[in-house]
Amino acid sequence: MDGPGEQPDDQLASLSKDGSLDAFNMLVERYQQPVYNLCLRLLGNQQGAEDATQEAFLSAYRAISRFQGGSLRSWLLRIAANQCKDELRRHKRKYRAGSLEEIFDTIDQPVEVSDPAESPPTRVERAEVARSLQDALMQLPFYQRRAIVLVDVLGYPYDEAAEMCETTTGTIKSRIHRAREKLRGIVRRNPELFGPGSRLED
Amino acid sequence: MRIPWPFRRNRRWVRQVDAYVDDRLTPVERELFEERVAESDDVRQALDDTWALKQRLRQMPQHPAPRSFQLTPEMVEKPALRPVPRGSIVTLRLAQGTAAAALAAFAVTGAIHLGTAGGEDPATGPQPAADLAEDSADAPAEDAERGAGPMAESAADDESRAADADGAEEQPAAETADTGTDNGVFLPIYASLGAVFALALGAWVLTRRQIRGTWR
Repeated sequence: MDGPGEQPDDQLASLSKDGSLDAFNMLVERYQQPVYNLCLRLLGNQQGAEDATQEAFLSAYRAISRFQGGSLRSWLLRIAANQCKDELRRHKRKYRAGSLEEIFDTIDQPVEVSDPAESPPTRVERAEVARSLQDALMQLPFYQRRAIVLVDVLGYPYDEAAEMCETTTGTIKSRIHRAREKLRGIVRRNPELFGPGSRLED
Repeated sequence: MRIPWPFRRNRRWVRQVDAYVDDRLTPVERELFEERVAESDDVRQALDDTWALKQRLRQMPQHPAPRSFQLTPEMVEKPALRPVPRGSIVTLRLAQGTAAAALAAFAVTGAIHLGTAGGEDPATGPQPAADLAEDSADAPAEDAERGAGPMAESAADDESRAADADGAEEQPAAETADTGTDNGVFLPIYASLGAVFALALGAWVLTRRQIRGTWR
């Protein structure tokens, strides 16, 4: 018999529609990391990301009866991105690029990188690059930032990113093209972000 | 963002950099693009930059969830996660009360102002000036009637006209001075009440927005 952890999303969503909070909380456990990371990259603020993640799951629970099937992960990430958009609209000054240095210090700490075998200098360098990139991401318009975070940072395919953004794949391609152009410009002005040998080889 | 000038000649190819990096080109397009990369430093530079950027973005750390975001029955039942701070409610009520009081005071002051201006007895206010003008106009006319001759009559007419003119000038001047005194008293009151009303309204709008932000 399958344990509760192996129950498919559709089944848990169906149970949640019937009012089962436990079933919904299994979905929360399953998806809280990608939802939190999306909020963190869109807001650049740990506390704001936690609040937005919690609000997103609460909104999702209240709206679960309107979930029509398909990818539950995409649906949850769409709700989370919309939550972040609202949060940014409400607290523009708080999330303004350039006023977040002390906040970035707390989100990409060297100790949190995934590879424990990495040497400390490399770890520090990677954390520094991540911090600068987060700063650069915060200078992009929200729609471009959302597209590039979904595709380039979190690694979702274009069609799934389009579904999360409720738009077409063509629009996502266009947003990513513009976002990369802007980021290249920002990074060119901060060449320390591009170390030697950073080009990927085929 | 504008493409830097060296890239403009290769705009078509630079636009294909994203598709190449994301592996969205057909084999034929890919081959043509790679030929172009071998020929053009600009396109190769754009490609290198995009590769590096994509790699750096992909290496941004994925953080574990800092805590569990599971919902509790209390969270689901309550309409909001964060309560409105008590101070906000007090500020809201205070701003409402101040705005209402300022508006009421404004209305009362206006009524008093209108009552003072409209209810004034014409015989007691600026009247002395008018009387004086009338008297001064009448006196020479009476002299003329007593038969002082054509010269005297002419002089009396001149004086009468002059007196009329003086009276005509004097009366509005007296009224202007009177209205000016009223405005001098009431204008600062209106201005102060208006300022208090505007401040209270501003505080009310800001506090209300803050409360909405908290509850949304």
